[in-house]
Amino acid sequence: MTPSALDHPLVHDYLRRLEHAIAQMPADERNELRENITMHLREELAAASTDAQVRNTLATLGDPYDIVGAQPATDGHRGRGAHEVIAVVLLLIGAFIVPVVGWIVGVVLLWSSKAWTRGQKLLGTFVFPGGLGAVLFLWLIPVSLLTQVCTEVSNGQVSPAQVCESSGPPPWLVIPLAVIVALGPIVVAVYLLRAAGSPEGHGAEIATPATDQAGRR
Amino acid sequence: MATPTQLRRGVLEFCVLALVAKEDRYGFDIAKALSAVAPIAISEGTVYPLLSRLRKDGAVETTWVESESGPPRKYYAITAKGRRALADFTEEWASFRDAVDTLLQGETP
Repeated sequence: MTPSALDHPLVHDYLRRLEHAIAQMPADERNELRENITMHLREELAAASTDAQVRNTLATLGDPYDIVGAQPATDGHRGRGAHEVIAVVLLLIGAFIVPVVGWIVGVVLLWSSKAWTRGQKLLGTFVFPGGLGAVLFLWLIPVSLLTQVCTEVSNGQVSPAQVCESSGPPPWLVIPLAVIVALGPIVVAVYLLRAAGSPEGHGAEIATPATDQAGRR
Repeated sequence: MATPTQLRRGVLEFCVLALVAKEDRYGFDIAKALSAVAPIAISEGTVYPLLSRLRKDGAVETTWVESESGPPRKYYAITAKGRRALADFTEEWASFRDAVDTLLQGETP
């Protein structure tokens, strides 16, 4: 199996630096630039490359921060700011704070943010509308089905030793299902937070580039 | 006051447009062509944000073309809107350039 042109450690470093540089851009622009740079590297480094060739390629390609600086000013760019964090929190537990409305506000914030693609926004909206609030509500239904059946039996004239007749799904099925259903919104919430990009003002945190090929900065 | 870098970038967008006006080209090719003509002006990578902007403005459109020697390539083609923009810029640039040269050479009347 031929090694991928992008497997070189210097390329990895470059791409990581690129990710930080593009974190503040709107999601669609971010994806487009990442795709273009990756294709460029694949094209240029297709033949087996020496270290020197890789270094040279990355130097002529240019420092990611310079490339991103070339991005013409667009209408708002952000990484993961307060807007995004609040959106995710409300999506998850907004229904507990203010029933229904809390979650709806989360959805509004989700869709008005520039940090996510449309696909990500759809995911955030439809993996359990209502967030954990709805999940809790859903939990109550099978639980009440189970207990209801039991008490009815013992209220009757039948002996108390009667086994609970579950007309609903069995507990060993319901409980794992309930856990999975609850995990859905939580997993999506974590995914959205990470997909939103680096926190705003992240630029200064980048470690001094050992990979700065042109020796700038 | 606009820095030389900002001036360069405004103009380079039209240079990129000029490169695809003659024939459809793919990103890598455009990057190489531009830096061959103006190596000190920009690093190759800065072509890509310019191409994105041109695409968003409707001056170019992209199509994917299968390539025998690897993954599909994204080709850029100039649109009618792009041609008009390029024509306008070419005209403006000529008179602007002449005016600036005149002033820089101190030959103001």
